[in-house]
Amino acid sequence: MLRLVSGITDEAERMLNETTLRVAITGLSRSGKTVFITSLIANLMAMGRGRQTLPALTAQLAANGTALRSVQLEPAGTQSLDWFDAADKLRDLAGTTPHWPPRTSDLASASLTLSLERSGPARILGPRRVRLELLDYPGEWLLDLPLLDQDFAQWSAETIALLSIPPRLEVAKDFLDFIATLDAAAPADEAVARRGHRLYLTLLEQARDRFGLRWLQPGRFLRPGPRGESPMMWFFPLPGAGSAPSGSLRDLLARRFAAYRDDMRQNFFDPWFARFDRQVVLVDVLGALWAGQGAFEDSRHAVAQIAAAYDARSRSRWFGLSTLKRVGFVASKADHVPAAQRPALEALFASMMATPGEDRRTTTHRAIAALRCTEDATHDGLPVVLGVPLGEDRRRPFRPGHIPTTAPPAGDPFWSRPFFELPALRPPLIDPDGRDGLPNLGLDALLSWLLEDAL
Amino acid sequence: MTLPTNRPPANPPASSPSASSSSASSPRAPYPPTPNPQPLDPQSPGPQPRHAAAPGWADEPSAAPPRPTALAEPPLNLGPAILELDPESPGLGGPIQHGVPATLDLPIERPPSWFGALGLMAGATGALVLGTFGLGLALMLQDLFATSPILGWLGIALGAGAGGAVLLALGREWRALRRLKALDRLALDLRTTPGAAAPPAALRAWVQDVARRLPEAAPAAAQILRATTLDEARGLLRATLFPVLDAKVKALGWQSARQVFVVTAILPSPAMDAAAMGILGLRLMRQVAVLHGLRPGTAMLWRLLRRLGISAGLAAGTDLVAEAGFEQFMEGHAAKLAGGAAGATIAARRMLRLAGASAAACRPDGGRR
Repeated sequence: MLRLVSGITDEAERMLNETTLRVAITGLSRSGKTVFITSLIANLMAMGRGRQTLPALTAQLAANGTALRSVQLEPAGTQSLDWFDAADKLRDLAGTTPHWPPRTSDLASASLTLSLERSGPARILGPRRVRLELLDYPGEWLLDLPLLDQDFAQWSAETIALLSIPPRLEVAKDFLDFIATLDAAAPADEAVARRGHRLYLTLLEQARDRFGLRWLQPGRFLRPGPRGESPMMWFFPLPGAGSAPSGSLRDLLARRFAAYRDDMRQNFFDPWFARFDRQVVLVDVLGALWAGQGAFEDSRHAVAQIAAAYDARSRSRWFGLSTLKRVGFVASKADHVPAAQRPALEALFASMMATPGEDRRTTTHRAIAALRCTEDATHDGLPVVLGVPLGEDRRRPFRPGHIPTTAPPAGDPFWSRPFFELPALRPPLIDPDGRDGLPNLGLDALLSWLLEDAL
Repeated sequence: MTLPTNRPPANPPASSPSASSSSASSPRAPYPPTPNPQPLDPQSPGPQPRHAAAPGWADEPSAAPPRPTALAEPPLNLGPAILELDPESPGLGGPIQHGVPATLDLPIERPPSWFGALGLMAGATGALVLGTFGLGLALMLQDLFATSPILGWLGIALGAGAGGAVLLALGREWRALRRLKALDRLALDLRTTPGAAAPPAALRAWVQDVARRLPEAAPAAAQILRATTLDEARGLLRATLFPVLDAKVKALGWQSARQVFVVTAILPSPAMDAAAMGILGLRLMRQVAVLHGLRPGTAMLWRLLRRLGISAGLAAGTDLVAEAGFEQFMEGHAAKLAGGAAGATIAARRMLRLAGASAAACRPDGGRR
């Protein structure tokens, strides 16, 4: 009986005092998801310990008539996912040889509980809790989200159409030559399937490394994860109309595509990528801008596709209403640009993400740096940032050059510049225990906006 | 030539008193001091002032920084580049260091205002009693000396004895309050120390003190003393020491519950029931406090009562409301079957809950899970 009473009281207390927000931190690979989550956790934890790490959030809480009592990182529990070890990431950033956390290779989650003071007579109910559920994952996998609504024929047609235009065309020649020689009703053959897969994989890697492209499907080809590569992944796009004849190569590839898609749905998207309340879409705008027009358009396309897919997956079953109340589009790594040019970066990003038609979601476009590793300076009268390139020990000025406020049109001389890779700068000196959080640019304003109605 | 435009000041802004006090008390300085920027470039606008209303990272620009007009926009054809420096030049410094964030005033639990009024009334009553006693003593001594010097000196000895006893009692109260304040400081330390840092020395001292009073807690204390991080120490507290304390608290709670059950079942008047519950409740709180390393004392007990007014009455408010509802239901139905015994059962349950709430109030982290 006592157990029943405690169960009822616990549930009643949770209903009254607890709000859970599933926050989707989305972004393509190398957009800074891991560092964003680490910074979010470290800064909220430090704020819970009485450090003014997120001033805008503090002001928002005060405006709402509340204050943060404490922040707790929830224990790992019994989840099958990896636990996002923020302390470990902090050690990477603050160790004797500071470096950026390694690329994420599998799903990892973390939950934070923000305990908020109540004011007035409602104090009798005790402090309110806002739980933030966060998920980290390889950015490449996200590209498979739009695949869920496609079949092999559709995906093949779209992919081959993309491969036929620059800049992909430059690296896709071998692959396109290979599929051009295949007969439409060629019999299934394992060696041919493996050869086609290898050629396709090579072109994906080259498109990523040479041109900085991000819309590279299927995502697990480039980052297979802890389960490694399996036979269901040995496929490649092959054009063909109508249903594939049984026993043909196209039939084999289509079945593998379907198996891969279903596996991603069952093991990745359905359990972890549904019913989000808030979304942060991180975009490495500078990397895309300096990689050239192809990479810029590619990133724009990828982000738009992913955002649309998320919106579709965050609708309730009954009336199709979206549970995603706020979506923050974020240009990451804004510390690579001096303060004087950040408004231009934000304007460029807003124009890049602009969607035709009315967006019913509440959105914002911001340029932030989850971990600020530069200082502003001037050089020869021009604004620059100072940072220490990884592997070096002295500060050097980095000049971002002209940042347009809108995406330059095709054929603009801006796009004729050579490919420039965003420099990897050494993280700043930070306390390895996270006592003072992580220095950032604009993270507080973003969180304040994102959680405004839940605080 | 290059110059920094917004390098951080060495310390948090002086406008925040809490920030300066915290920095002074901090055992370590996370970042070495950074020299103030010296403008070298005549075209530079120099360091930008921080936004007064947005204290935070010392070098963080304000929410809406004024757009620098002195800086030239890069020419349209200028691309990105990492600029080379003259190898002979002294360089621009080593790794980037940002400022230390200011300190926030953490919200603290304040007792309801009527607790303050009650305290004032108790203080006034005490002053009145002591004052009356002192004045009465003085008059009595005057009369005694008028009667006989021997009687007068005997009266002084009596008064000195009584005064000494009062001072002794006050000294004990002061020591009890000091111990309670040490517990509060420890609670603040636990709240402000990162989980990955070493456990504060005060936590070790508290654990050792508890182990001295409760021998069965010694193995748990030994484990906690070996913890290398605060997270580990917290975990061990919950996994090893608190269960031992919980068992003891539960035993004390049951003992009081049995007494309350018997007393409320036999006492004829509800007023007497309430008085008996009050006395037994205070005794239970005192026992639980001593178990957790606090010294017995009336003022300490009063403070603890104020704290319970928050933790039991506010923090666990919904829990209490729900349980009270259940109890009312039980009382209503059980009374038909068992008469007055049902009320006694509920009263006993309340003693058990009081034991738990007192234990939570006496623990440095509030027994949070």
